[in-house]
Amino acid sequence: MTESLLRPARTSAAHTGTLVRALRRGPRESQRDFTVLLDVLARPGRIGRLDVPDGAPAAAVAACGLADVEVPLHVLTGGDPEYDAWAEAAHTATRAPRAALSAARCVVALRPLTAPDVAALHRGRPLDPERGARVFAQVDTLADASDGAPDTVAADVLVLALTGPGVPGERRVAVRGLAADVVDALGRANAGFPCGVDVFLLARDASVTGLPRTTRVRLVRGV
Amino acid sequence: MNDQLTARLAGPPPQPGIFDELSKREIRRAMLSGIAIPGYQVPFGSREMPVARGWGSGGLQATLSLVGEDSRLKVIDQGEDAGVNASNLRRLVVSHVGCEEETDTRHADIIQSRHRIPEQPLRDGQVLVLQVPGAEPLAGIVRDMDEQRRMHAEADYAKMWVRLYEDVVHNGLITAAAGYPVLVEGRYIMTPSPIPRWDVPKLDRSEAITVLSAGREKRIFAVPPHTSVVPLTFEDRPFEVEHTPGAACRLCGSADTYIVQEPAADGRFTTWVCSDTDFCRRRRTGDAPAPAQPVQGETA
Repeated sequence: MTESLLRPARTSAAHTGTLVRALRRGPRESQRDFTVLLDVLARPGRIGRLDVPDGAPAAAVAACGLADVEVPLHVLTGGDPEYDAWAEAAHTATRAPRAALSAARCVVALRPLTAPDVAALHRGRPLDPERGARVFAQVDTLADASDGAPDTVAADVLVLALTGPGVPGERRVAVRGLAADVVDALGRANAGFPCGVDVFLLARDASVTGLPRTTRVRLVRGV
Repeated sequence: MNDQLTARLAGPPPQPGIFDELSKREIRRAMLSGIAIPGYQVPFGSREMPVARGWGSGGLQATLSLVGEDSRLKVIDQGEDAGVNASNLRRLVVSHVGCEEETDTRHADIIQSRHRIPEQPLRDGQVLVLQVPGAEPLAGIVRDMDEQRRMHAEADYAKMWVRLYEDVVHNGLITAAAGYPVLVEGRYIMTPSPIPRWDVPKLDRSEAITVLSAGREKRIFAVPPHTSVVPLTFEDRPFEVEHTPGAACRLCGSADTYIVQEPAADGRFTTWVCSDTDFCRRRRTGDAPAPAQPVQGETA
């Protein structure tokens, strides 16, 4: 009884419309999103900011600006009814076909990303490495940690040191809401360059950073 | 004729435009893949454009996917903002998008270019879009496109090195002039589009994003900032850029820029001018970086 009340009324056209409207990106919004996504992917560790409607998960919004009928999409919801409703809305707003996690070109993680998720992602083949998955993962917070001492951040925050193309020297980001074993799993998924997966981390406040497959990630501090 | 009939039957299209959102999204995804795999040629569905293929249709598609109303756009052809190809592409994009025209390299957000990289060092926040007539650096070495893909996939570039070696044996130097082959981040061999050798070192660890787009060959590739781009050469054959001793720009006197010969009234080539007109104009007004001392040129 209680559960059915909490579950968003998916049959209600009004509610579905609200979610679809929040995720559908017009020409101007998707151009601005893309400018930010290109900047943060080309400069791993830099933190950009998307313009996201109130209440919409930034990971889904960012993916919806790039996905369409040509992009097999998988949304990780963890069975949460609210996330399920957003997943439905993402498919409706973009007309992106449903795909299994291992076959998706675009993956949106509304629930926390796990190491088995990362291990299951398609990485492309040496002949077509661009088919590796593009992941939009929701996290809690993101902050630039390049000049802060790692000891001053809270206990549940990961500090990642990033090197590779796009990074002069080293950049550091502090992430809350990402498991340390996901970082290891990403390292394994991206060990066979040019095959691999590209990840965008998106925080609740719509800040975003990119971790392309070329980026070497070292865990400076984390649980 | 058909357009008129369609307009009479269905009225004008709701949003007059030359590039739809579906196409832009595909190109944006290809650009992101290109950034994530530096130097790898990402295939994309190149659209018909209001310019003929080979006249910058690839660069135009990349630029249209990048620009917004608040962008400042510079387009150059051989360093020249007023060239026919450059003016027309710039006019097309500006009138379509409503963005701002720009000729000063320092203030441009997006620079679309045919055959040159501006002399002014590019900065963080800028995107250089290069029009690419021939995307495949292995095209003159193996003809089979499947074999070219296999060689890139396996980083099997032995035949490229043999070609360069034969060049040295036959000619005493590597003769590749425009589009000199480069190795990106130690993995992919890439052609940097037909820029002169002079411009190749500017790609190495640039502050800007470089996007290379070949409309005819339907491929997009990219170089992120702070990425290693090394011209292919042998240890005992240092990479050399173009240099003519004693030559300098007739207008600004620069000998440290890329200069080209200009024809005189009698058809003979006796004088030199800067290829980059924006930089040359600013040199004359003292608004450009001073010449490097001593004059660079022999090697890079």
